[in-house]
Amino acid sequence: MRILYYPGCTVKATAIRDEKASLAVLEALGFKIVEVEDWVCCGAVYNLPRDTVIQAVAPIRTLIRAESTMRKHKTSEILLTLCSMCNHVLKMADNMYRSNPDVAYKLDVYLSDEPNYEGKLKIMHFLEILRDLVGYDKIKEKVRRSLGGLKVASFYGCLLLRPREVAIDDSEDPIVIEEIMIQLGADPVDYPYRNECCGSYNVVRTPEYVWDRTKDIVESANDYGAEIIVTTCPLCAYNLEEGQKRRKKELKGREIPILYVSELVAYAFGLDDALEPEVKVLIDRMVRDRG
Amino acid sequence: MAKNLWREKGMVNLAEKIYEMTGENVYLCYLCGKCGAGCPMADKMDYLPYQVIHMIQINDMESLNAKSIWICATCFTCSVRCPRNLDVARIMDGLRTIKVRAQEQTIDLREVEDLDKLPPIALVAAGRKYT
Ligand code: SF4
Ligand code: SF4
Repeated sequence: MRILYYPGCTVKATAIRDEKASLAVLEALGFKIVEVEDWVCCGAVYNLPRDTVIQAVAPIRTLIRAESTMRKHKTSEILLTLCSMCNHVLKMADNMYRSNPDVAYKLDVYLSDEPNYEGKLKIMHFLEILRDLVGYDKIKEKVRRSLGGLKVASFYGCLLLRPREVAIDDSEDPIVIEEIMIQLGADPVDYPYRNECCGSYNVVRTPEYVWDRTKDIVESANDYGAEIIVTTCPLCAYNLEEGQKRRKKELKGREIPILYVSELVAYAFGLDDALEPEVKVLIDRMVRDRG
Repeated sequence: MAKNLWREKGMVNLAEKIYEMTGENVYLCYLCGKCGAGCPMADKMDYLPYQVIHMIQINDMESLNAKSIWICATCFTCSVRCPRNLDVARIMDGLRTIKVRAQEQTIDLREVEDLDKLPPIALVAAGRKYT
């Protein structure tokens, strides 16, 4: 199946590891990935006032270009996203465009240099594709190397789960990452912070707030026995990793490595080329240490 | 009606302004406190989300000076939990937008620490929320 792919700015920068692993996993599962031509940054957050449409201009521009790419390369209408923030913003903009003809008209005017948006795409996050298009059983079949009961704490963060109209799973009790981890032979850890916010963009203005926050998250994961934390959001990943360094002295318990969900899947599938060598070594060591 | 009095004096009714901007009616809030109880940034805020909402209800302009509106991480935890179905995050964003539209900024992106290390989404988001 040929699917469209929107990387977004961060997946091409600090989260390039996620891109490499995710695309390799999907290719191993039989998908052909076609990157949207001339995509633009989505804006990362979706401003919420309803008296303006400006926040939707950039994401809709990308969606229009995705539709052009779809026609040109004859792909399906599925548009893959990896970053939680991109997934949120594209879906919010798509919803806003489709649900309100006045808004749609205004956006068409703003975007008169592009063809009109037809609203034919289905935006899906990497995790949704694994769950809904691939299925847990098929994931299990592909596993070449079990994670050997590795204790994995999932960190969903906010934007995959909220608000409800764009959520990929239940806002209060999500299960998709845990389900995937079980297929890979890992042992998911249930801890209270898994669907909480890491402090997000506060890291730019008031980083101390975020370090306090991530300290609580990591300590809680530690209390519940986590050996590794996985996420799909490049900002959560940065905050959690950097937060542990900044609060090294105060942190109770061990430092916990932060990986992308896709990296553990790629490891279990035996896709070593898709992993950074140090990530491979890290997982190898952790799985081996468990015996 | 009080509302018209405010108009005559050239003052704004904040609740009305928020309704116009966001479509959220703050008078629906019955101050149960659930939004504040689950807010991840609550311990850093000067006014908890429901206190901010209450201030809007009584047309207290101090709500526009609350530090909380800049600390809110737009995580939507409050919005999915409100028993009155208020989109609290949207209301917080409304207040912040009033300030931003009045040219108030709480950050100078040139002075950000770790500029070279931060993921681009953090900077783009901060640019959108704080400037
Ligand atoms: S949760 Fe809703 S009803 Fe309760 S205080 Fe907050 S805004 Fe008001
Ligand atoms: S959206 Fe803002 S106010 Fe609401 S819970 Fe999150 S940080 Fe708190």
